[in-house]
Amino acid sequence: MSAAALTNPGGAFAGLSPLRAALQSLANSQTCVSWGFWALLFVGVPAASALIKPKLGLLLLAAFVVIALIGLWGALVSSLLNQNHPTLARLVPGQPRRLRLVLVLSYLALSVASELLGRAFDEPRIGLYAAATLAYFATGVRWPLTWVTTALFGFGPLLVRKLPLDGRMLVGELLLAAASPLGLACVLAAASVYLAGFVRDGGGAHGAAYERLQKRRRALKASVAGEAVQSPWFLGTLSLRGYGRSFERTLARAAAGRAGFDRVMLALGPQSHPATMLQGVVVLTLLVAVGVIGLWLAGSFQHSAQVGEGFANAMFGLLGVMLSALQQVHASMVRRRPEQGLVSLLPGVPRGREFNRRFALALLRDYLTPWALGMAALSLLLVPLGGTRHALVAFGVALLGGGLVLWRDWTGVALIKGWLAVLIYVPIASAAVAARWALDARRLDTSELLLVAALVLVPLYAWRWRVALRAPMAWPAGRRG
Amino acid sequence: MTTLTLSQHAAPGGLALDGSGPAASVELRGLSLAYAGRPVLDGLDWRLLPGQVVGLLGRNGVGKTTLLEALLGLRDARAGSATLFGQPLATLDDATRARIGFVPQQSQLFDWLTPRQLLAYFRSFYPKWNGPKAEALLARWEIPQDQQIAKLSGGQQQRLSIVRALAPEPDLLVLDEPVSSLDPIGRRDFLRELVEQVLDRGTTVVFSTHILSDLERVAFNVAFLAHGKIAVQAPLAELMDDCRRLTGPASRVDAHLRAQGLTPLSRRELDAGQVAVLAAHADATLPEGLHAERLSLEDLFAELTQ
Repeated sequence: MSAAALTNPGGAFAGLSPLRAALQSLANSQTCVSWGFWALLFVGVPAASALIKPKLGLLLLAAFVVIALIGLWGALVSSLLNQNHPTLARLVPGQPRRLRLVLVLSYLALSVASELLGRAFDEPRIGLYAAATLAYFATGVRWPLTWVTTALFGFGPLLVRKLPLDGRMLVGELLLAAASPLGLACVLAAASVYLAGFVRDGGGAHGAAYERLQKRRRALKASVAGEAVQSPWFLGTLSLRGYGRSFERTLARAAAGRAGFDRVMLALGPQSHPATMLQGVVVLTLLVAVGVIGLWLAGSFQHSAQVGEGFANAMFGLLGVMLSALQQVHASMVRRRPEQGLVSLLPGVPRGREFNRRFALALLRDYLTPWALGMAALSLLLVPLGGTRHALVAFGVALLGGGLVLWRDWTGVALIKGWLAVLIYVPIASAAVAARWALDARRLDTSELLLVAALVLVPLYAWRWRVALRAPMAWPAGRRG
Repeated sequence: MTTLTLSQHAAPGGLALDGSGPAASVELRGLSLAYAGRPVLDGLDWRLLPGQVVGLLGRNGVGKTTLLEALLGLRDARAGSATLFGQPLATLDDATRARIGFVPQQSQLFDWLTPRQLLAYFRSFYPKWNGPKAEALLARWEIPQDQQIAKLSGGQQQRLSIVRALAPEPDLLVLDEPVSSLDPIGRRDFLRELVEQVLDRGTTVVFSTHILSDLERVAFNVAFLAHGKIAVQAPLAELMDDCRRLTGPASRVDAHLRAQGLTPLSRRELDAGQVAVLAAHADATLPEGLHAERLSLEDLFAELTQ
């Protein structure tokens, strides 16, 4: 049976029309490049791995299928919530009912399929874990702030250890009961009721909630696209303040006849300004400090190694902050072309190779400053706990490599949209994980890793420096596009 | 359409400006530029003289913005050369750059700043900045100085962009659709300011627009961009007075043009072997069977940019 027959507005499956809209929306947002990327990731990588080690290929394929299903589920929930517009909910007959039906049926289908797959591989708890994971992701899409709770996952083993023996046994028994057919049916029924509550029937409260959700989505999209200055979030305001202070100082220096290149860099806007990048590092450091102090007050430092392991995930936070900073630079270069054009016409702005030299140095300085401060702050907080040294070294080295993307020919640059914008995370996060594995598995010690990193990064930086300098003047970016 | 390029300007009946004479503020020679293999500018020649006000016309997507950006070096041309005040674009010195004012099409620039901050920023680059004039324009055009630019209306943003470009008192002012977001009163104010700028300082002004009535009010010259070239550039009054659309059988029209030594500015095939030709002085001693008519600026636009 074709998809069209399934969701034909007049057909037997007309109730599934929101599913069709969601799938169409997902397909429309993809480009040839993104389809190529997905094909490479889902087919190419497992196939290449299978050539080296068949079991590894199968494992990667399974992991990618799980990731893809979760991604699809997230996109589906997001689309259904988007379709649940308060006006349509009131005016289109049966629309909320159809949305609930699609949401719950999709959830049940994915959970039950996981359970059956788990049974086939003699893993009876897979269905329960899938049901919980899908409900958790749906919650994250509905209330984005709940993603913050992912930071606690690293402490899971520690929290379980802190439970008394009776408590741990109770948790185990509850899990067993929930994984049984009857238990799973109860979990799925409860989760279905919970998810059905996501869809609302219109009215004032629905209107306000819908607008809030759209605002958050716009803010998230804007932060990826380099427009976070219009974000309603407090971070947007803070970044403007930091930029504002720097703006005043830079203009005062210019008035005193010491107009440096910083004045030119102001034209890229607050999103990619070092004040904004530093703010991310400060927020991360504060969060880690609060966590460390909290655990210390709770008397959990006798498990300092486990605490350290938990906090090692903070390096993913630094990875996020630094790579987001790189994305902002890219987005600002594309989005702020008109500003760059105006500034490049001004007297006193260097031209050609001299411009590229000063621009490349300014970009790297703006990237390395928060990197160095972040590394220093996290080292101070985490090294005394133990169990974090490898993570600090591995992520620190990998993030140094991230600066390479700043030195390039900017004249052909274009805006990267959607998931492709986060592609930069893949090689750097992979390098970090690989480096940490090498240290943990004692394939390399710290000094050897640093030597390898130096041998790789120094020639790469030298090459990129030549590329950046030999390229035509970097501003306005994308003028050959 | 037959285009009239600079090399043809000396042709009898040609309406475009002569390339000889005083040093040009802007000189483009053989400028070519393509997007994804599609030529946008195709060996374009253009010359703007000091004190000239030129309205650049062309249909949507024909490349007006590209031309204005290439003229300033903000787009890389595939071929050709461009000079501003006699200096090649690639080596413009600071003194020359201080003589240029540009209002890009997007007026929501530096939208994270306030107008006061924006003007302070640009003032820091220029050796000469007419602060009182900028203040007066901000007040006259009712632009709040301490409100974030992103929160200003489209018209206010566009006016601010114009103030920023006028404050350093440029000798060359390039404006890309500067009045598209302005109401009729705002447009009138802006045009008055533009005329004063030209009369007071002899500034060369080139601006693109779709609002033909504004052109009739202010542009002493109009240039039509079509098929990657400046099809025609001429004083507007001359163009309106002298241009006629000649219609009739193709053979008779061609014979008449040959006899009068006229260069057609455009040619359009009609039904039944008839043609419509645009030419200057085409109504002189009109033979039987041909029909000549005066055109409005809108009709001229349609004929020259089709």
